[in-house]
Amino acid sequence: MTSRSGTVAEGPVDDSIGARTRTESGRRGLFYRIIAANADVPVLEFGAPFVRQWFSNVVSGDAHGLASLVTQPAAFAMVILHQTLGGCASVAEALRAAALVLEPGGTLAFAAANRIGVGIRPGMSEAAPRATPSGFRRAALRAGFTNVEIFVIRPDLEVPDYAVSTARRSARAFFDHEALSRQASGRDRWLLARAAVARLDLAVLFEPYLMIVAKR
Amino acid sequence: MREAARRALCEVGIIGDDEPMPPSILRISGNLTFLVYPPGKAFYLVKVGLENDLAREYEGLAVGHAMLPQSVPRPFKLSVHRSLPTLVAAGMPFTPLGTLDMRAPRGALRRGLAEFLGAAQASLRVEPVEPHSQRLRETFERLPPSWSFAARRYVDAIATAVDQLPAVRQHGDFSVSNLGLHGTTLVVVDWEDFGRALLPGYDVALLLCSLNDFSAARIRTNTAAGASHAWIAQLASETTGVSRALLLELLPAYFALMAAMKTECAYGSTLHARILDALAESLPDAPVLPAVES
Repeated sequence: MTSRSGTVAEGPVDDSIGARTRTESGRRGLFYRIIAANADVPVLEFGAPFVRQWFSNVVSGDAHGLASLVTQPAAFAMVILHQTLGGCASVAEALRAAALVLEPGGTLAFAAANRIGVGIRPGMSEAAPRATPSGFRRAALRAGFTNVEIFVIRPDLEVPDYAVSTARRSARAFFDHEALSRQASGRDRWLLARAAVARLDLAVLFEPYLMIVAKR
Repeated sequence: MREAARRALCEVGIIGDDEPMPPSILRISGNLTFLVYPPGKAFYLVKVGLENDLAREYEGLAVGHAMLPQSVPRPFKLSVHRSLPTLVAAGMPFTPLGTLDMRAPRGALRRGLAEFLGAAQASLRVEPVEPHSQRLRETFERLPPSWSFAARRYVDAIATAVDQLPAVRQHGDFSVSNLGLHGTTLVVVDWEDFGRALLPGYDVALLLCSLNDFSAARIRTNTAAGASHAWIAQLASETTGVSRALLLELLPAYFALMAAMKTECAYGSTLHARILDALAESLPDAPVLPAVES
């Protein structure tokens, strides 16, 4: 393991949060802070050193990886796997290891790729762990997590502008609205196909970037 | 931050204290905007203020909803949770509008826009704290010094006309992306900038800017008789009393107000630069290459 560092203040009159969100570099890691209970929770991160600007108590995973930590007592309120398996061999193994180092009620945040979505869109991230949305959900449940939420992330996992829950109502509302917006602007060659995909609740499958959030 | 949004939903009784956050669409842009979809038909908007206290938006929604309940979402509560300001409002479904709709408007859109602009002109009038020309002078003074000569001459030239206009609180971000149709009703969302501009015609000018890429020349061309946005200029004239000629004359004033507001609200340096370009294009005697300071 490596260092702990950084402090983040928070408050309604603390302009530092608003100021940071105005730049792309400042917004890196903000999604993790949004879903965390507060800025002081103990965090174990793999692949996301930039979260130090949002959390005061961050431990970075080292080369030995997540699996080497599982013999220690569960000590973290949040585990972040940012486009990495934390040195584990598979998604299932990484999720099992993450569950073991999380304290009860702790949060897993796993930024990963949708196997179908990245397959359809060549050029997307090669390094990110891949599975289907349902595959990630099954693996998280098998690893002992509850309240498994999966979000589509736009435009990418580094500086998200949108996080859309893949639950049917929210996903349909988002993709319907997007199809209608493109139609209204006259800037969509795939108008009918896009609308049909949204209507059939299939749009999530074509999205490349996912965030899995689950409670231990 | 999401927990602040969840607690805000609990506070107004939309979910129980021990229920998790329902599925949502989160927009991360300045403040956080959650569109929340609990089981059932209704959905809700929850904002978490990272950049401001959301009081202006709450007031805009309250005043707007009282003015046109079918067009403006009903705000439930402005509160503070986990040290962060939160605002809960009813969700309002709508079909988004785009440039195509604005070129060939349906009757409902035409009627809805006329109704909104007319109601706003009548209901949102306030006693002016200072003459419009004074406010404009102060606004232009915030631009780089190289603008001062052209700005002073411009404000001197329009002062009489502009000071005869009433002070009317404007929506503040009346861009096409914040408008929609629900059936035959115009829906107006995103009231974060409510009341920051008081100069009549500001909202119409911003709408035209959003449709014409912040180009004064395109606005002039596209609002001419028979052109695609002539109907908007006509509606503005009928409902706000700002004729097309006056609207075009006041474009530099509107751009200067936009530059001040959009910078302060941190809408981004790109938009700010585009607005300054538009100001340079429209302001007589403007410096050729304005120094952009954000």
